Amino acid sequence: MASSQKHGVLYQLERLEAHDQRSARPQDGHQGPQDSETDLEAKILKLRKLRDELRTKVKLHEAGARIPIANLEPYEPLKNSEENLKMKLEKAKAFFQAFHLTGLSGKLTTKGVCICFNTAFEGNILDSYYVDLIIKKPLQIHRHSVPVFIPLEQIAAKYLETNFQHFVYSLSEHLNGYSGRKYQADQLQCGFSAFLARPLQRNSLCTLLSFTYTMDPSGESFPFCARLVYQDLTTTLPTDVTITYQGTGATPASWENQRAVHETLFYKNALHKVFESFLRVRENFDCVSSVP
Amino acid sequence: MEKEREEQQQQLRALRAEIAALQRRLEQTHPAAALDPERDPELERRRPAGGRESAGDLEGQLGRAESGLSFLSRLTGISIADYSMARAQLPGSGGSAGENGLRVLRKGRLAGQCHAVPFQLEFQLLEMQSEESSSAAITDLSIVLEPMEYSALSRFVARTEEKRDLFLFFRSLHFFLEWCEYRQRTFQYFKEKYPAMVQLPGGTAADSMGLQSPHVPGFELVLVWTVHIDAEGKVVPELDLLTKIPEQALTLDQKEVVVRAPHCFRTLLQLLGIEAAIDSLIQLLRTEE
Repeated sequence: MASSQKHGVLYQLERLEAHDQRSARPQDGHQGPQDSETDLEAKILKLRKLRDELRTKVKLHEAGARIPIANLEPYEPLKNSEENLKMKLEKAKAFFQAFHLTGLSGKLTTKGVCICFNTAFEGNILDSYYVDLIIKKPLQIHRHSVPVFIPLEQIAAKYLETNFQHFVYSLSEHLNGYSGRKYQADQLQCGFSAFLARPLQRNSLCTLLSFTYTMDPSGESFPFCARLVYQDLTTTLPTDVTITYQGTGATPASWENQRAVHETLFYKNALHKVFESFLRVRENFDCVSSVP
Repeated sequence: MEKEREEQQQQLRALRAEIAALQRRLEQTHPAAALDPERDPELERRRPAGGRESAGDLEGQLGRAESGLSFLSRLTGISIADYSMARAQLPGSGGSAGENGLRVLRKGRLAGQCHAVPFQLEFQLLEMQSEESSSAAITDLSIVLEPMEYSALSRFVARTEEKRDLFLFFRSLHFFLEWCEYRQRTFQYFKEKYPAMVQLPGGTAADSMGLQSPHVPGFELVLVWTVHIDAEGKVVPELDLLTKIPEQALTLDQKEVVVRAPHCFRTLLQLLGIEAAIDSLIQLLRTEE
């Protein structure tokens, strides 16, 4: 996509404006205020159109930039080919791109290396991040797109000089952990908001999630106030789950039983999967209760 | 009139600025595109205008591509031996453009080695592109690891196939094999240093090491070092100490040293780390006179 920007947008703009000027010129001498107005209006409309096109492009581009895997070209190695130079080159290029499938890829840059980290959760390809390193003594991180709350400096301090491979895999663990937790929180927020009595609260690293939910859509039953803590930054399942009742008064035994069951569910399953099971329970209940 | 013209001029200026900013964003947002060896700006300059590439040029490109590949292999510990990917028919709907936008299904095959353990996998990748966003997901995954020296891996592979988490597969496999290699090197080191005292019933690649005192027969400490992968894909090494003490000796053990030994060893591990802890055990047995 970037290569199609060969003639930059400013160049296009200038061409547009030159074109407008040229088309306006035949009415030589009649450059009264009225003409200039329509010129300007026409210009504004054209620029607006261009801007809107660019906006869509940027949106798609930024969405696609998260998924380098989506850019993998189809590649079928030719069966009966002679291994001549071109064939070898195509193969090497394809293998290079295929590294994205391992979650780790990168390339040599003029001053060092640029590593690309892909993240995913249970098959869903999520954001990717990059770290640009300069080869110097000591190795330096030149630029990166790692969020500020991921302990990049600590991981670098520990491994960058001594074990580069470990640095890469450790950072990958952290990024995947964060991506997975974020995905679960997003899924809960967007997909199961009907269950939530209050909006989901979370910290930026998604290691602390707090939400209140009810099993009953009418809101008549006692709500569950859940607090999930993820102490290990590389995991996507919580290390501490506490469910409490925030109101006054005693909770019925049935609520207590449900609470215990739910706590176990949250420990062992992805957040949105737990709510999917709640949804199935609710649907079954509705089915049953609607039978005359 | 003048005022309107001024306003329009202002609008024009604002639009131009916005367009320039969007253009800058377009150039910035695709760092991953910069990882395409094809889009090397130096290369594009050197390419002759006629479009026909000379052999020398191709060789240069091939050299660069291959050095990039070997760099990635050293970085990840993974080398790719075979790869193919092709578009596939979407099951069900005839056309690929649905209400939700464009959907593309690809089937791929990847084979290679991770730390000298060969793998082969087949997967299906579904991409969905709508006006606002694009997403991709792995909809099918099948993995073959061979030979299966490590039985802990077969359960891990089955779970990973179910979760279709391709990246987790490589990450966990890497950490698992790293730990196994470290264990092997450690066992080998101690065996070479104290050949009479160290017993490796299963060889260096197995998960247990026996320590015998040269002076006191019948006493044996067995170190069991397992590496397993939990349900989440996290690699967990576990070290435990077992004791083989003759019954006669046990009756003399009034301070219950033997019973407490496994627990004490775990504390020792935390304080000294693996190698120093094992070394101190060996020293303990050696000084028994």
